[in-house]
Amino acid sequence: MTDDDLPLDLEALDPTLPLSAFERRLSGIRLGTAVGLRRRRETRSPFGVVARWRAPLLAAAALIMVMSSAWRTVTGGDAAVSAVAASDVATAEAPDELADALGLSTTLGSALLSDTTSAETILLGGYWP
Amino acid sequence: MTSVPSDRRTTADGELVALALRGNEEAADALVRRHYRATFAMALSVVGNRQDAEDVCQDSWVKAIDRVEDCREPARFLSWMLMIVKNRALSYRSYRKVRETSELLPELAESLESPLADTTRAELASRLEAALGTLGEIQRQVVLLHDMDGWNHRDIATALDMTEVRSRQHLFVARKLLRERLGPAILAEYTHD
Repeated sequence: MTDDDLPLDLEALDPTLPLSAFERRLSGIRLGTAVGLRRRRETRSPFGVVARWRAPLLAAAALIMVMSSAWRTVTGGDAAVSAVAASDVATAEAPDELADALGLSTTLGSALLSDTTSAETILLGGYWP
Repeated sequence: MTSVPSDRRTTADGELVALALRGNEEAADALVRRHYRATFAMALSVVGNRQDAEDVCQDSWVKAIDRVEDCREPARFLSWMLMIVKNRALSYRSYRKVRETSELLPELAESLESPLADTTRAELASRLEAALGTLGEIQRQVVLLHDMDGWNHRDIATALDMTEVRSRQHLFVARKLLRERLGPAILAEYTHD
């Protein structure tokens, strides 16, 4: 056996020595991987599954808001208000239908739609004169 | 070489990779401890100096753990890891930049622990580093994996995609050249017996 068959001592190059320095390097690696590993743990829990959907849900909600605003701008807010007002008038013209729908007497139906009806009248079921 | 216990038989790489995939920090830590020396050997053989090799190793490990799901064959984690390190080291060598002062501070701090021992060690390391620099890249990889991390020729041949005979030849030539470069006086400081 020649000298060249004997291993060289490369301990001076060993990156795991001194141990304290190696531990510091490991800490650096731990720090760098901590976020990724935590994310892996979280995505495996039920809360993680919900959390994973949070961003898409928020994005969808934001999209709906933008589309609603755009639609309102195009159609005009006043038109919508007018439509609601017209519906109110139609309802006011049919107190009997409202009373039937609510299961109340016709008197109370009229009272509910009247601007002059007092709170006592409503509380007494519309039978107070 | 007993500072980092070799636990190759206790838990297979594949199991550790599976645990790391679930976010287990201890498993990730065990993988780093188990294979750090080998990855360092690979990095050092490419970039040629310890500090750069350390940087390459650290970056590679962070990247590998972050993308551990890309390891198609967990049982062959080390081969995959060495490929990452090698690619990273090659890029680093191509686009090497002047290291910032802040990155040197940890090294300075380390040297304050036991100045005399660290100075001697640093001198030896520098001489070895210079001598290794005169070898070819493959020879460096073989001698570092074999003599620093204790790999056998079969594992080296598999990892570096060569025959065992070729691995033995590279080791023989590498040792011979290193002994010539370092000279008998310096070698006396290195060899145990």
